[in-house]
Amino acid sequence: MNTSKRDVVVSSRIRLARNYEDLPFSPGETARSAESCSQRTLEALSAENAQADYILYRMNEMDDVERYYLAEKHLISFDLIRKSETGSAYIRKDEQVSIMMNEEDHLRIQAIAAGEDLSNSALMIYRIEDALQKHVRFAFDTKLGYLTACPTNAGTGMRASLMLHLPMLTADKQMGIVNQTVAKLGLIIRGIYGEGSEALGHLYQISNQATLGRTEEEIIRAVLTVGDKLIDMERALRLKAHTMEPVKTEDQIFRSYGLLKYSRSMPQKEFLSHWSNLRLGISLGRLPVTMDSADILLEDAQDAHVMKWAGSPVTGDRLDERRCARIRRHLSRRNNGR
Amino acid sequence: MLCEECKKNEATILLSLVINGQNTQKHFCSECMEKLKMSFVKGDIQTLHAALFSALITAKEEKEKYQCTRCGMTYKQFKDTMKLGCAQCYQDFEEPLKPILLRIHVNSQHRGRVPFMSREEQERMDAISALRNRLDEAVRDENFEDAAVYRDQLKELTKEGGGV
Repeated sequence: MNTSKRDVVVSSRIRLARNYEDLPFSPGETARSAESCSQRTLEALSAENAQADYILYRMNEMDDVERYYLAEKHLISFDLIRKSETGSAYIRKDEQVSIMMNEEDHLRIQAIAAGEDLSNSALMIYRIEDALQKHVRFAFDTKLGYLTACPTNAGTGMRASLMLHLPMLTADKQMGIVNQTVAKLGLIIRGIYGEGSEALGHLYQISNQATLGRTEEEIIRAVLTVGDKLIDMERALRLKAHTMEPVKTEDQIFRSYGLLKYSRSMPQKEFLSHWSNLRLGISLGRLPVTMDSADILLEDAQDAHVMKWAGSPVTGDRLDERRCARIRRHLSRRNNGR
Repeated sequence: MLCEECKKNEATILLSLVINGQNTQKHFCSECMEKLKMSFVKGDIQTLHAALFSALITAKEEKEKYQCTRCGMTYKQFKDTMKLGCAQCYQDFEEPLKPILLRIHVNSQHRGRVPFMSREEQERMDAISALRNRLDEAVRDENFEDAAVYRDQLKELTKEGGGV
């Protein structure tokens, strides 16, 4: 992992979309073809002796808390949850790799890493794809590349993305311009939590739009180049704020830290805004919390995580109370380890 | 082919139109083409419109006749959902898909990773072309012993894939 960018980059993700050549794509999916898709994947993994590294999650055998828990960890997508009958996923035990089955495409192979680690993530999924390809045939055309259910993914089938924490660019109202500039470069930037002008937690995902005609390396390079530019802009603004208005900046950070540490009830939306200030404070070296811990907290304090921890699907006020208990526990721990 | 305007005379002129980024073609006989030209010159917008509009409709009908030979998906079904039914759809909808793919990706030729089968094929082709170069060089240098080895290796390689 490239720890040097950790102050802005929360995580990196790469996914490949692949379809079995002879099976109908998702619009024409039948119970039988879906089963066939799962079976082939299982056989290919077994043939590679990799099956034991993965856990199989079938959507139709899970309750909502379990499903959303995995989605909050970005190990499965909300689209997979909607495929509640046929959707399933192999998740590697280290939670760095997931292979979703019967989502929009037969396979969505995904690697996820903390911080900026796109190149390693890419190598990881190439290895998995190579292993699977020894046993199966994916739909491919020499002109159009890998064929996908939606033509927007054809070609490499690759989506490379960085999750960025951009509180100062957001406060400076620059995200509108950033959006337009990024679009011209064939990339797309969107809020992770909630659409609209303000992304909750000031978290954004930047990824490639086009998948055909550019190699995987070119796609990754484009995302990294624009990512680096945004990192520079965000850092400059953070430095400016901390130098020009130290009291205002620190007040914002410590207020949020205090609320996170001592509150007794907090809705998710409010949590995300304080979490953003917490992460900002850590990046400025003002808080006794590690970046790892803050990023783990981001997942741990979300609804499905809190429910799973509570052991029952609590809702409303009870959920917000349990969330606070979880946050307090997290921040009071020495070294903030998990 | 008969003129698409009067449907009587033999069409001799192919008119290509790009309307709203859609490329359509219409066949005219010289007589009708002349009328069309005159309507343009005289500013008879109605005749001109009618002729062009019919060309557009034809183009639309053309597109709707597309249907996948494997899964049966129609082009209209695809347009409604933007999802294709199977790998064959890409071939059977090749024409109408072209502008869509170009609009999304700004490119139309895949570059990047290819499946194993193609990769092996690629490696074999690379090996063959390298051997051919070496063979040429050996012959040029009158190094016939090496040339014989390369020739045998080439024979072996080209045999595998059913000849190149």
